[in-house]
Amino acid sequence: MTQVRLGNSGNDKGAAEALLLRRVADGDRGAFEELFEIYHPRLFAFLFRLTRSHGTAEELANDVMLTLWKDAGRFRGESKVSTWVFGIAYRKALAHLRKRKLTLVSIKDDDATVGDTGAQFEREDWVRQGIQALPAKQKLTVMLVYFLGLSCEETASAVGVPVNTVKTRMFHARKNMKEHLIASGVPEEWRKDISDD
Amino acid sequence: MTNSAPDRCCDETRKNIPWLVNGTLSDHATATLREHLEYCVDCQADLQLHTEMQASVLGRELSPMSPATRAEDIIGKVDRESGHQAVKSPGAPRFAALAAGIAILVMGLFLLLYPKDTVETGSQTFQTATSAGSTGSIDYVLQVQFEEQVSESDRARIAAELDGAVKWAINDKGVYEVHVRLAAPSLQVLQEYEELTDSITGVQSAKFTALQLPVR
Repeated sequence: MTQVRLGNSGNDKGAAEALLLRRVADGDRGAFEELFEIYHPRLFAFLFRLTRSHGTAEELANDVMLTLWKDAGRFRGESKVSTWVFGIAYRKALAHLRKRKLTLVSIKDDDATVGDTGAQFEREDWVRQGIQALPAKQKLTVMLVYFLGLSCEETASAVGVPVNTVKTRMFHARKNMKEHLIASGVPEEWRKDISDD
Repeated sequence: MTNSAPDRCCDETRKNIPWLVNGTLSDHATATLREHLEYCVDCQADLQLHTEMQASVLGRELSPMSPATRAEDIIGKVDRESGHQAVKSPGAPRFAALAAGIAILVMGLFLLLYPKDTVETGSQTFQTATSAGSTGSIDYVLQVQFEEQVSESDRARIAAELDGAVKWAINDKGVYEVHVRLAAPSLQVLQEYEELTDSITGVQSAKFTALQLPVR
């Protein structure tokens, strides 16, 4: 289990990435290639977990890199480069989910249904299904915190909301998860660990 | 703090649990939370559930093949669409050319996917997406209100990010709007779409209103 860690980059690394971004703003293709090597695989992994589609994840990751190439000059240095980049990815993912709402209607997990029996499912499957069923904003926040390992402040900066909003989204994600586990008929022995609010 | 019903203090403390789990909580907050966890069974249960959520996000997912895209593909795409083998140089013309290239690509894709009708209302002309077999479709105006501090240029950029394939207009109240034809979506879908739009930085509110437009 390897977590993609962006939140604990050292100052040197952060400064080096900021310098790369400034060079990109000046049209330096070599600098862009370096940033591409750093971020494209992470973006792809993040977006694949979110969309579960290789094609969509690659398309969105490319779109983020395209924005980075075009808008590098907009980076003001008020946050880490990683926070800025994943803020762009967050907005692209949100836009994708918005469009999908009106075309495909549902973002439910296809490979597991609520009616499945507990015997075929491990608790981890129920939790995974519960994450997929979360409202988009909560799901994206969970992904930023747990897949990318962003701190609360970094998540707030990437999403563009106050720190308390991030905490509240995670709080409600946990609450929805608990309700999902109960509603899904998780076996009794699993429920005993889930406390009431 | 209590070991049964959580009080307000407990609620505040438990909101830090996700960052204890991902290891980014400050040393001081970590010490406070760990002390609390020693005797609060509710927060212990929260910790377990958050730990499972993290494990689920990180583990046992399909490992996709790495995408084949290279950095030069991205730059080359911009070059081709802007019609020249550009050596990137700072300044507004560069951004205008890039923006035009992207807009052409997006519009091209949209035109490829959807046939178009032209709709006129007042002095504004809009293109509406008319899906094949649009029987039962409903025309809406989607209005997006930006936060006051967002500059005009940023409003235009955000609108393009929201959906660059449609033609946004600004009404006399400064609200961005676009008319669209949708295949009778449910109220819930519209509300979720509005909610997701609301959450985008700089957007104050988004609202669909059903209407019927003259189609020529």
